[in-house]
Amino acid sequence: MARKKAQMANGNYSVSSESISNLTRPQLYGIYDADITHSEDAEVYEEAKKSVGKFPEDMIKRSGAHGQRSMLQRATHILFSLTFLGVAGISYNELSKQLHDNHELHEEFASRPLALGVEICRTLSFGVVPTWMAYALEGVLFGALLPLMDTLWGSPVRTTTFTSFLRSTNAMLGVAFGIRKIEWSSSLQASGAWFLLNIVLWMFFDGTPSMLLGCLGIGTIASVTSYRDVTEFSQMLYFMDFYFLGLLLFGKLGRYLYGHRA
Amino acid sequence: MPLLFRQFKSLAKPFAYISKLSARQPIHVILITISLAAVAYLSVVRSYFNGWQLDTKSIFAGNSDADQLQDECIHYLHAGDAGAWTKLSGEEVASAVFSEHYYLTQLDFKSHNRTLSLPELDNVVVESNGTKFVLQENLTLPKVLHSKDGTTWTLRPHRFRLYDIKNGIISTISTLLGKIQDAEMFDVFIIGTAYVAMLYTVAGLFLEMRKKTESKFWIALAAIVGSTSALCLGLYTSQVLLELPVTALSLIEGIPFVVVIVGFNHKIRLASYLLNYLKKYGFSQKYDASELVFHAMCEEGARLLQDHLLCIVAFLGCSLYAHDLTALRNFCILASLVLFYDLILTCTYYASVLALKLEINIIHRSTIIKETLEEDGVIKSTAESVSVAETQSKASILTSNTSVILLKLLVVIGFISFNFYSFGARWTYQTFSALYSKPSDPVLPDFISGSLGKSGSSSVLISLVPAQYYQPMKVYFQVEDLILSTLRYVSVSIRDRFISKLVLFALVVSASINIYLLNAGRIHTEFTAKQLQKLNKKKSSAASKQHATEKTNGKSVAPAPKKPISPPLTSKSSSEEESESDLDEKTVRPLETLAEIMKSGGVKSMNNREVASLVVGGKLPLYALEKQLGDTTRAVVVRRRALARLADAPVLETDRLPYRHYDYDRVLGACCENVIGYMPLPVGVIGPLVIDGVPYHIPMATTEGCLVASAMRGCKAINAGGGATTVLTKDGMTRGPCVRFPTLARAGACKIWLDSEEGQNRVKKAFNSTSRFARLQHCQTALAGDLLFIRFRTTTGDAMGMNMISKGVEFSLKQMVEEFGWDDMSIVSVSGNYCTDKKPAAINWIEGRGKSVVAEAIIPGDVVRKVLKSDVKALVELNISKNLIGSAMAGSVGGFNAHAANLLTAVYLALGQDPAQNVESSNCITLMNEVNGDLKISVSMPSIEVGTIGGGTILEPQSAMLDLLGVRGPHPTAPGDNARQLAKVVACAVLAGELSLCSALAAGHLVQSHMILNRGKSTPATPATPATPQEGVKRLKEGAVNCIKS
Repeated sequence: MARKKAQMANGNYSVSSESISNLTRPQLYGIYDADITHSEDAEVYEEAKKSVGKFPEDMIKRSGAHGQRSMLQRATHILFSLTFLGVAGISYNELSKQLHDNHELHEEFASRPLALGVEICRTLSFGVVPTWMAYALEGVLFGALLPLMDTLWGSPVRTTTFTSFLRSTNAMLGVAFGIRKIEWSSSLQASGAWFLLNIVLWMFFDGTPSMLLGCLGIGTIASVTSYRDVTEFSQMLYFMDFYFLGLLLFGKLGRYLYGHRA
Repeated sequence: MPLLFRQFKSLAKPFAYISKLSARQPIHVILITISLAAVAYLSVVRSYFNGWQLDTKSIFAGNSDADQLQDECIHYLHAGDAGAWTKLSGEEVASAVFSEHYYLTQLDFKSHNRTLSLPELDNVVVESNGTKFVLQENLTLPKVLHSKDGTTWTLRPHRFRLYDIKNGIISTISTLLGKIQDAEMFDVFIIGTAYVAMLYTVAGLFLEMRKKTESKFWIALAAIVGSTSALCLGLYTSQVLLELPVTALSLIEGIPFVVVIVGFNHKIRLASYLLNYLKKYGFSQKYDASELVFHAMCEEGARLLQDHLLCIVAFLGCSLYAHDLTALRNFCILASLVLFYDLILTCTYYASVLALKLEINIIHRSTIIKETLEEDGVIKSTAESVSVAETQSKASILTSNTSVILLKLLVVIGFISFNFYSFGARWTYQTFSALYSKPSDPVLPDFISGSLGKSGSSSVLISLVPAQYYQPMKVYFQVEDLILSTLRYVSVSIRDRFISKLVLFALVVSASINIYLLNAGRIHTEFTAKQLQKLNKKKSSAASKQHATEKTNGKSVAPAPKKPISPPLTSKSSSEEESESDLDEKTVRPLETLAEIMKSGGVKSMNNREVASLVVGGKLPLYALEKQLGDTTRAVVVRRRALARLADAPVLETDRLPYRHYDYDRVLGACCENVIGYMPLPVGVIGPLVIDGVPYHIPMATTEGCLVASAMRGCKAINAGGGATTVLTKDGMTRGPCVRFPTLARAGACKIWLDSEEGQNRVKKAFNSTSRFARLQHCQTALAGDLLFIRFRTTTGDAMGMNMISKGVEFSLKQMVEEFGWDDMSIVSVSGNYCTDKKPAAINWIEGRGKSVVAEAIIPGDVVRKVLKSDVKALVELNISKNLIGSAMAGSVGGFNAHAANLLTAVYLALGQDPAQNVESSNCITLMNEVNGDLKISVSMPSIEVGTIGGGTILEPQSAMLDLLGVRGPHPTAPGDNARQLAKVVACAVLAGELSLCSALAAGHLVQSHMILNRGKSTPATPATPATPQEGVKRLKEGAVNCIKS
């Protein structure tokens, strides 16, 4: 008897007729429309992403005020970043003024391209803009350069952490300290060492081609604009070095301030 | 930041192997590293503070005060007629003998109060305000002097004071300030910034570690210790081995930059990767701690390697480029060495620290699991452990987190400062003096050179003793003396030739005990990984033995012709294989022989067919197979074979009911008996479903088509509205024993006593003493004649808790009989159906059982239309008619829902919950109403009974599914949280199912009315061919709806 039953259960119902399929079909199928089992979109993940971390009632309450607040936040963020960049620009200028070695690099020499920019800025504004403001503007421009390049490149602006920015600032200060303190045998030695170090620093801190191109470009522009003051090749290299590292720093800062945070 | 070159990944492999090796022996590696670093530190310190020397003198010399004073003396010789004073060194004085040798000691009497009179002294040569010069033949000075006015003066050795530290600090600060004033302001600013940034980096290390890993203190400290050790080793290598000294100034200037630029990022990432991995995936069978460290190193090592190599290259390049600048070159070489050592130490020392931490976490976790399982009624549990647990919890209140961290910090800082203090203390003699303002050498005073010089007949040696100070006795000095003498006593006694060996021995013993304990702890946990492998090996070896015996048996009786036909299976346990002699009846020895072999305990040596014949012959009971064979899988094989004959069911000889590749060890004694295989169920998944802001993927084991798909649609709609919100209103498992009293009066008295506060408290106390997790919440009573029913409700931690509570109930009832004065009470049954477990009952619906959860979601109107293809109003109406009125008409208890049991049971099956408890767990009322055109839907489920440990959850597939939800096992910090979260997830799955089915039903109604409307309008326009299937669909739908509604 048991064997018979087993055979029954074992039986080959390979020939499926309509009625049998209807019989064996789960009752739920009858209730739902046909595409209940054919939903192929990944919409559910999109929806889930939107809802993660939110509670329904909060959503309803906040939906009205959400836009305004973000405007306010955006405004404060822009104001903050402009101030930050401005202060960074002024300090950068101060650093350039203080930079000297024991040979050809005199004090305030490295700041010539910056001074030239300030001059242009003041001429364009008919002297309305005060000098410190011009330096701050340069900082803002410097900081915006890399995110702008990234955007033009078509890639999203990368983001960095504050720690990363701090590290690169320290690298800059360390290099400046080294240039000032160490008894270099010639300016060329110091500037050459700095240039090589710059390449390593770029690899260490960033490693993106856009940054390298930007840094090299800005270095070249700086040395070209002040070619009249240059008496020796090492000075040219100093311009290159200083502005290379400068853009690395400001690029980091720009990316930190404007980067897309996940 | 991405990797510059992909090759670093493969380059990091060897480092990963190194870290794996060191992670295997963490304590060895840590000890070796620390001792190496200590040696390097000592030799480096010697070269920086040249006064301090680790020589035989300072270690083995008797080191009395007199000897030290002798060393400090400056000797002047007046060689008779020469008339001049010559200075002699200590060795010269020691080697020669002089006829006249005097010690000239300057004694300063220091006091703020000038009026105090000075004591009288012998041999005073010169005396001027507060200073006396004493000339005597030996060095001894009285420790205490008494002056006329009763003032007690005590001898204060000039360097033997805590004041000196203050002076030292002040002088250091003043020299520092002087240097700062000399230096350019801008340089100072740069260095200052670097130091601030360094502090920020170190603080950031602690904060990040705290944020990203559970560890608050030790890992961060280990990271700093590692880097400091690297610095020491680097300094040692550059100064002692390479002989490229780096000045202290360039160290002070350069180190902060290196620290900030390199930072601790890699270490933080390594630690967070490891600990988060453990948190996320738990301790799996595949990996032990060293394996995990290896993986982490493979993942994060590439960045570590890249950054360190870049820095090393930069520094080495710099040193080559500027090789003529000595200071720069030396510093660059030092920096690259430090980085190199840091890389090595990260792979070895830091990896072992992480492995140790991991190991501790694993041991901790496995202990918790074991404890919880024991609590859930597997093995005994005593009141002792309860008391221990309770005292622990009290202690944790006393020592709050912050105070513990502060204490740890204090201890570490204390050790470091003690180390630096010891430079200044006397017994290390003249240390640190290089940093202090060095006292100028005392010159022979005029009165000596004047008076003695003239008279000089013979050679006179005058030893100038450093100035000694007398001060009026104060309590402060006594305390200071006490502290210093204690320290001194300790340090001197450590130097003792016996004690030093003893200390060394104790150190070795302690280290080896640590290693032993770690290994013991590992053994405790590794049974999941290594024991399993061993077991497999054992099995296979046993099986091969069995093979051998079978072969010999086969050969002795008949050759085995079928062997080549059946391919050798690759499965680990060969007991799963059907051996070559399956169909060979002759290999089975007679039953009597076998029975005799069995009696002598030789069942294991028989082949499967023989054991089966024993079972069929009634000599060996079916349930005893596991015990007799000692191999659970083989027992299943034999049982199937025996049953195939006993029950005349050849189906068991086929593979239709699978049994291979299953861990029956976990089943034995916990999940099932008389096992013949396992029932595979298809498992689907729904989700992501956002529950309280967190997305979940919920597994469902079901054989009902369309169920998962429909729940999925519900999830989609719920997510579109922002997810589900849940509230847990009650958490308490119940057990309702039945007791009987001889008279109704006694029964009533007992009920009243139990309902009183005193009764409740006493029963609670008795109940709670049985378990760590079970906390009795309430006893509800009901009287039926002389029968009393008591419904105990208790928390059960993360276990479903029926075992735990039964134990507590038994003990409480026993206490009631024996201690509380109800000795005439007789226990009818521990379970009196007043619980009520696995039966429909209104009490669960009203009072709740297990977890009581309400889940709610708001579905926007357009989502109801687009996703659910329904209408808000229709849904609300359907819910009232069907779920509320319909169920009321049917006289339902807790059945005010569309198909809660459907979803709940599928989830229960997938997650190893007790499927029979769906009876009361499925109690649910679904409510819907319209809010501003949106649909508000809620399910209220008062009696969800779930657990995340024990029962079916201990099986591997089920626990894997719990891992999918992230609620496997006991919650590490808050017992019960995992089970509560699981109850919420279950309620939300039900919510999704309810929403979907109700809207489909409502939509079906809409479609029908719509089609009727259309047909009425334009019957002739519709083409003939598609009409038939449409009608068919409609008819099916109607049928199905009727079916559901019935």
